[in-house]
Amino acid sequence: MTRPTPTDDPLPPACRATADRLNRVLDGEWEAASLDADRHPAGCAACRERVAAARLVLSVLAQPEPVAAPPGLTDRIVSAVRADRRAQARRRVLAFAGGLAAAAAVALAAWLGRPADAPQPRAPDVAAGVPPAVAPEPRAVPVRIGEGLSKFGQALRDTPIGIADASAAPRVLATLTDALTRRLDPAEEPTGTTLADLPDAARAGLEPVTGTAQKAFARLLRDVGGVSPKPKS
Amino acid sequence: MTADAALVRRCLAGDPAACRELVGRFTPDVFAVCRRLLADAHDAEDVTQEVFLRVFRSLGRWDDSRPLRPWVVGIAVNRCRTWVGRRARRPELADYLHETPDRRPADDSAELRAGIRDAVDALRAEYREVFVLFHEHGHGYDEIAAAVGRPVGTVKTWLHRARLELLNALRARGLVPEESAEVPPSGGDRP
Ligand SMILES: [Zn+2]
Repeated sequence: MTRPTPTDDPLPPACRATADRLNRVLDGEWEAASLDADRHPAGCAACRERVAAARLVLSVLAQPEPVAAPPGLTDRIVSAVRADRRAQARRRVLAFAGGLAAAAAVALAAWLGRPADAPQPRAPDVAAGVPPAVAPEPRAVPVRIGEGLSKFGQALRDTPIGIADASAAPRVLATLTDALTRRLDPAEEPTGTTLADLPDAARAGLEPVTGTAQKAFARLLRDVGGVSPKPKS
Repeated sequence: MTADAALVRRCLAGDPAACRELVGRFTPDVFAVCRRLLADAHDAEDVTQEVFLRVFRSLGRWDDSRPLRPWVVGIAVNRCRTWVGRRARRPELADYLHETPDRRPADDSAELRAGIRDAVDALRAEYREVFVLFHEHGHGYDEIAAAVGRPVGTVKTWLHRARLELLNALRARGLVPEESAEVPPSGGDRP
């Protein structure tokens, strides 16, 4: 039995036992007849009225109003749930495919943009006296890609249909291979291979990713896009 | 594995029959709770659908060691709370609510029922929710505690205070007969 502390009890102490009895009856622990055994209400008008009100409430609640769900509601809900699941699955697959395409494009652009005539990795040295053409920003790149990929991995694991699902897998693979083969095609003009030209699908795929990761990717695209790609003749 | 857990597992695997079974099993409960807490059939229908979208979106996070019904009802109570909050910012809809036909009493017992319902509706939200779930929908303390995400002791305190406030409100509204001894005692069991 829960009992309010004396300070927040809205009842006079003399009425507390009657209120507890009413609650036990309304809880279904005690029979309503036990209310008759209480002597306090005979001398307390407020409690007499509370007991009468409790009997009214019991009599009304004993005949609950039947509430029937409208016909066809279950069918409508089932349709809505299925449509929602399909939409969610589509969004996740797009997020995954778009994310991978973006990562692949980033890697490719970085590869295309690497200095062809500088075989040593430490080539852009400050000792040359020339300020580096590109801000040191791209050093953070690998971390961001990893972050982004882990998000896509999570989206993948959360996908209820499973990415291995027979219907989803070919679509994912097709999207990925499309993006990769298009970019790697040796016949294609390499000057068009900056990330500023990233396919819309890849950008749209980033949509469900959290703001931070999305911002990181936007900066990444801008930074890497600024590197002029050099054709590997 | 419980029957609930088996059903949920099938739903998560994408079994359409399981999805229909789950919706069919809980729609009456969810609609009844929404209908009561929202006092509007159209709103109740919309929110019931919203509840099931939520249920299926978060089905993977359901703790399968617990019963499913209170979890589903809890989502319903939450959605109703959100809906009522949104509706409160649109006064024209609140006015319309008081004109729905089932608010008009047809006879004495209907008047009494409407009086009690109005008094219940005037309780603060959490008191009202536990009162409705316990007295009008037959949920036990454990189930209500799971549904509203509070300990059983808290739910008991809320319900006991809700009743006391309700009884006092009925007195204040003059719905209590003068001579209480003449009111026949009716079954003290919960519905
Ligand atoms: Zn008293």
